[in-house]
Amino acid sequence: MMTANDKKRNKGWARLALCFIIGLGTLPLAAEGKLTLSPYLDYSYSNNIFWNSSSIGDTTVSPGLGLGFTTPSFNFFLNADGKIYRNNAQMNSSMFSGGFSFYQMLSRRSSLFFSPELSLIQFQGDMAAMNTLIPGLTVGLKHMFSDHLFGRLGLNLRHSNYLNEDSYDRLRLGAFWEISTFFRTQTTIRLTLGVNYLLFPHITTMLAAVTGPVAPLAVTTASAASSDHSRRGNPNPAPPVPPSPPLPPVPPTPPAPPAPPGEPAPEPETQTPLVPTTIDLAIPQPYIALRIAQGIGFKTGLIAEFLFRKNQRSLQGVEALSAAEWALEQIDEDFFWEGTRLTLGIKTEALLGLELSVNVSASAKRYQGIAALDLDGNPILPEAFRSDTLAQVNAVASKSFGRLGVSLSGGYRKNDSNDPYFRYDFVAFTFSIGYSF
Amino acid sequence: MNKMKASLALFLAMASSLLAQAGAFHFFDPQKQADIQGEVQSLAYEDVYGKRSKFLVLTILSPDQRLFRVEVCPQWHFENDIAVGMKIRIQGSLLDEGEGKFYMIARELSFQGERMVLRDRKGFPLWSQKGAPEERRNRKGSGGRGKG
Repeated sequence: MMTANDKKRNKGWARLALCFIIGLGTLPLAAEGKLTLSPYLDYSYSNNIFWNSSSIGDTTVSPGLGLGFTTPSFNFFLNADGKIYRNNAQMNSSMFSGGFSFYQMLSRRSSLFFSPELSLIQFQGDMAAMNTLIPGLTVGLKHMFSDHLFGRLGLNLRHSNYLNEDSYDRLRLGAFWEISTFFRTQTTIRLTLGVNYLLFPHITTMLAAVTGPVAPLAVTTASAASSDHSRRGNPNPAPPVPPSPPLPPVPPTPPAPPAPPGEPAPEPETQTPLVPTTIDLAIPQPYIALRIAQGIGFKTGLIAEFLFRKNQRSLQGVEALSAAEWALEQIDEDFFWEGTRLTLGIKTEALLGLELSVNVSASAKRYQGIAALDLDGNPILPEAFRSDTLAQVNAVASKSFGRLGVSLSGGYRKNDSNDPYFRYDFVAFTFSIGYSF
Repeated sequence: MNKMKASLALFLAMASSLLAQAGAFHFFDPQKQADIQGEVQSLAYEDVYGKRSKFLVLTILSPDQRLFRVEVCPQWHFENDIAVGMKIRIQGSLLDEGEGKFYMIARELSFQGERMVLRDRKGFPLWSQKGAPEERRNRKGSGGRGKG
């Protein structure tokens, strides 16, 4: 007897099998050299898949297939993959993405890059609330000022359209200006100035209007983010809940005038029912990054990067969304924190033909507007906004054997926070194998 | 029959016209792969395959003072800057043009520890390809750079 869960699992495997069959169908084309076909498989272990104090470990298998087709000006790409958890089947997901890139020389020293892309991420069951269609567009302009000095302007627009929950929808705009220069000492210095802009266009929330003859309109939210409380100590993570709007300041209540003698006393305050309301929320975030790369011989390079970014608005209202950091970072949405990050890295091909890279980084992250809570969901005392320090090290070793590529990566991160829910250690290892037809 | 002859003549005329535009034609020969390393002497964009698309072409001076012209890819290095004076290592298909001239179609580039894979072992372009481990790690979204 098949359970509903089994049926869902089979559905996922059926999709993957379908992709595989479609992939097989393209083999003759690949053999003719008209396109590239790249099946791959990742196997990962993590001791803390949700990046929090629950420390739930699991292993995942991620099979995938990439297709590429190139013409002189256009590059088309299509990718499908699945992520299957061994013990947390509710987290299983699949992703399909496709698009094209277009390059054009505008002059002898200037080039234009244009790339629209569409991605679909799908989950099952309760997690279907995270099903997302993400149209994106990247436009870039590069100019060579000289043989040593390069400049870029870039714009990235991405709309995360949550198919089953409009409140999650968000628009992310990233724009940057960058200049890089190379010195004969084999040193490259790159400076980037940019701004991220995150807009939640229609957060649906329930507003309660507290009215009375003397009390001014006091608006409070039935914050969906109040599930912050429920997530504490709950090993089964719920999907992120929609952001709630920041609470508007409540004006001071004037004292009620005494009732004239002989007149009835004012009626007591009444609370109206919750009213669904749609609001929007926008967070601009300028940043600056400085990167220095030093070449050592032909096979080794050292890299140092400093990043500082600052939110121009309080994060109040996006508590729940920012709590699902593990989910956001997987789709490149590690947006919410402000502060600094320093990264040092080394990349080399000097050992056994392996491509090796190791980098260490330290970040001081602040979440202005998001209260630090204890594991029961109550504000810590004295009250403070969440503040983290993160240290991490990552290492990757890759090697190609003809058309076959393998890589092994490992990472460790330690996050210390004044919010105990976010005090955690994280260890992960991934083995990847891919083949290109 | 006349129609067939006319079509054949038209095809031959178009083919000869295209060949005339293309000039000297190089192709990736998997049997002639080699590794070179040296310093970048110049950067240029050239119409390597007719006027359809400009390719980045590097001039490399090797430690033994040989000069190589290296065809990279169409308007590539948007994200990675190759500058004059940079030490670079290149693997690709090498063609000896005689008179001490060498031409290479690059398959892989390495500089400052970064490796760029441009073509597969048969020489098929990979610069459109998504799904390489670096690309798919963490399922990064749109092709935009992970800035900020």
